[in-house]
Amino acid sequence: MLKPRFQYIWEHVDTTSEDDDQNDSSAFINEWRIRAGLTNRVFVSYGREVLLWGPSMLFSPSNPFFVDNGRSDPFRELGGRDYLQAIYLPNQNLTFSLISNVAQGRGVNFDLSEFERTDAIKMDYIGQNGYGSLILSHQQDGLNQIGGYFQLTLSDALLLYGEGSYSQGTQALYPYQSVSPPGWDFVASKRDDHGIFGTSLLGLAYTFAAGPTVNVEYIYNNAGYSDQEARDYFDMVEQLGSDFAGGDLSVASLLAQAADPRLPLLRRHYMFVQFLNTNIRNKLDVTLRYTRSLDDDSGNFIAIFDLAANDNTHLFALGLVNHGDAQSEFGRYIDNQWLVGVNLTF
Amino acid sequence: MRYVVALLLLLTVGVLGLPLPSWADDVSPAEILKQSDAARGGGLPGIKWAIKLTAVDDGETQKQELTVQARDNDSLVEFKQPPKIKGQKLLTVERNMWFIKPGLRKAVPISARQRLLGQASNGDVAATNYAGDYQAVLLGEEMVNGDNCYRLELTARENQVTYDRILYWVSKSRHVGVQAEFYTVSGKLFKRATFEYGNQIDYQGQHIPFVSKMIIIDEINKNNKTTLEYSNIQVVALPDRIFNLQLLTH
Repeated sequence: MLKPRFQYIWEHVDTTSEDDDQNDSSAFINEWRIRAGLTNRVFVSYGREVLLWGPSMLFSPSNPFFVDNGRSDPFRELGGRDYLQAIYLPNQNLTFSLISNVAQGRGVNFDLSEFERTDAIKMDYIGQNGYGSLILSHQQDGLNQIGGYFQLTLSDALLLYGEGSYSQGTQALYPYQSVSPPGWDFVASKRDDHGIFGTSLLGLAYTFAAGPTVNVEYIYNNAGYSDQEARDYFDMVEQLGSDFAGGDLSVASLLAQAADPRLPLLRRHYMFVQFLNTNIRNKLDVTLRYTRSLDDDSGNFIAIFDLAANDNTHLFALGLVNHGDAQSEFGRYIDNQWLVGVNLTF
Repeated sequence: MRYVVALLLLLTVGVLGLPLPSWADDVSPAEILKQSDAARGGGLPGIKWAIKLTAVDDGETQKQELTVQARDNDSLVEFKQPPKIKGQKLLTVERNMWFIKPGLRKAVPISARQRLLGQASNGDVAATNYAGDYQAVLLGEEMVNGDNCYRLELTARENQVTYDRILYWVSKSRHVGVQAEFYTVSGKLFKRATFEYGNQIDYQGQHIPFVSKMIIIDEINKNNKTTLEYSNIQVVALPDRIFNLQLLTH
């Protein structure tokens, strides 16, 4: 497997103070893999890959490597990371995988932290009307984590699924006011906590006879911020942003950490709904996704259109609209974002 | 010498390639169904075939080419043409289905009811296992295009299958399903299909006719028609790795 890429980016940034155009081009290999079958049941591989799994549509809490499953923007390719893997199939129902993320590859750490190796053991079982997976993982200098997912086929149209991951203590960063500059600490204060922290997701998917499929998911993220912690977090980000804009570069690393507080979602309770209709008149796929934070009532709406103009050409468009006040999860950064493009295949 | 070899070959085919035996008068509906499944890929240890799919929907024609590898209740469909869908895969393991799109990498779980193209559901392109999925009742005998057929009523054993109720006509002489009507839970006819058997496979010493064409007609809008043409049929042992989601996606 080899996936070479050439990328050219033109960006136009329009702010209240100035307009800016930027160009960038690069050539790279996003994914490649060499796999050897030692027997018909044992396989080893090494390569740069995007490892995604799980039945949920919003994100993949069970995945210690890629929580973002790429579904909210299917036209943006996730950066591959370097993995060493061994897969053993004792029978047609069971699969054991040893997975080691040995290098950063093209993956991005938003908090600018150093790469830390992550190892996982994954056990998959497939039964007649469902399947499940158990994932045990350990990040170097991090916590042990247990995760998993399941799906049950309740009828030819109805699927029930769940996904989650848990650890004793959490590496999530929490804001605390401090007397020393810049006035805030942002620390993993619950890392040594004896409590169990994690994210649980429960979902239903129903396919109507006319074709569309609707997914509804509820997410509980118990490491997420309380109302007070969220207020502190937004106050901290606002102040750090202001300090940085004012020329205080010493807050840069704290600001970068604030961009990734090591939480899949900032708050605790969420609902997610997705409407998917594929092959409308055999040429149009429509995906509508809405995520709502039940804690601060902010939300994120995404519409994705993919039109097969002919056998080789796809036209696509993605629109994103957030709502919520400036101190809410989805209202804090971007009001709306639009993407249009052409995908040519030969 | 050449004639001796040819004669030996003819004798071998004559002995091993036995024609299908006639059904006894008291043959059970389940047995009729089981034998007719083999002609549509069901109940075989492993089978591969290619499908050309043509869908006419509201006057527009779309074409796809795909290959299918099937074993028991498992199947792997790989899309070959047109280029816009090349590399996409549909994996079915028991009642579980995933759609795998190159680039995305994440296998998306889907239900058998989701449409593939035109009138063809995902469940239509995989191997047919009506004997396992449906309870059959013999309603009588009827002529279909000059072929004397058993008329069977199939009711879903469980609610996980693609169709709730099917009326199925199986040729008495050829042991193959020649026509099917698909009904909704409310009893409404919504699809009709006809089958042709121009292909043949050899399995356990028998020549088994194999489906060469399936035509599905939308009963709501009869101008909408989907045709599946089957070719390049091979009976082969397929290992577990072919149907392993982990190996397909990572």
